[in-house]
Amino acid sequence: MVNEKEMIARCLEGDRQAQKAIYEHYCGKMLGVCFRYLRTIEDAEDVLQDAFISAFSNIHQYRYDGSFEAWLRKLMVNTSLNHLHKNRRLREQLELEAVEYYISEDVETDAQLHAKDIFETLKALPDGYRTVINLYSIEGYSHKEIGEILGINESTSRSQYTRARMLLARLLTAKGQIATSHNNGKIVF
Amino acid sequence: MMQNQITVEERDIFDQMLKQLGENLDVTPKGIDWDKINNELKPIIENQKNTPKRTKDHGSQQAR
Repeated sequence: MVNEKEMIARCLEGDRQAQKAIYEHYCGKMLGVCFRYLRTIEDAEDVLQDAFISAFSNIHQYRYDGSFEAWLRKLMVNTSLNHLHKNRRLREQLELEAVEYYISEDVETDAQLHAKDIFETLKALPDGYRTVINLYSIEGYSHKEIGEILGINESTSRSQYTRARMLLARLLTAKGQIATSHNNGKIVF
Repeated sequence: MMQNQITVEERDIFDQMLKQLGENLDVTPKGIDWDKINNELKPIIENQKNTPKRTKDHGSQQAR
């Protein structure tokens, strides 16, 4: 994109060409964000559409105190979380005591993990686990912040994250992506 | 002077790898395009343009 600042200024005036340029520049990356949170590409595209409409309707709220991409990304994350909340699945799954996923094995990598396999496996996680992994590992929020965002205790976020990693390890092991060794119950990727 | 306490939660190599992968994920939209978004956005933007902007000195103050 030629000049992002100028494009944003034009978007503030409701300039459609500038809006289109911004959409085309960021749509792939932002769909990637939504798709990390949602199970299907159709849901992710619905959220992408809503989030871009919201972005252009509220672009005056962007304060230039960080990158525009970060502002847009945050909007995508929040819209994805709202979508999950609307379906009521997220809250239920975050509160679920998922003991059935517990494994007491030490898991170590003995080969390079493949990005595609990891994302496919991430998709197979329940919404609650996938959300916490996304917020903690990728977005970089602390468990305290995740607790505030999702309306859960900090300790719940922490335990969901631990369980999510265990399940991820188990699924990746089943796919032959990582090797397991019986040790002290600690998981090491 | 009090110092802000920052709690640092250590991200291990797996978190770092996920972060890198997540930030680089790029998916081409197939089910939506700009026209679809523009059709929904158009009335909202038009409405915003037609709504007079509020100033500090308006409403109840003028009524008085």
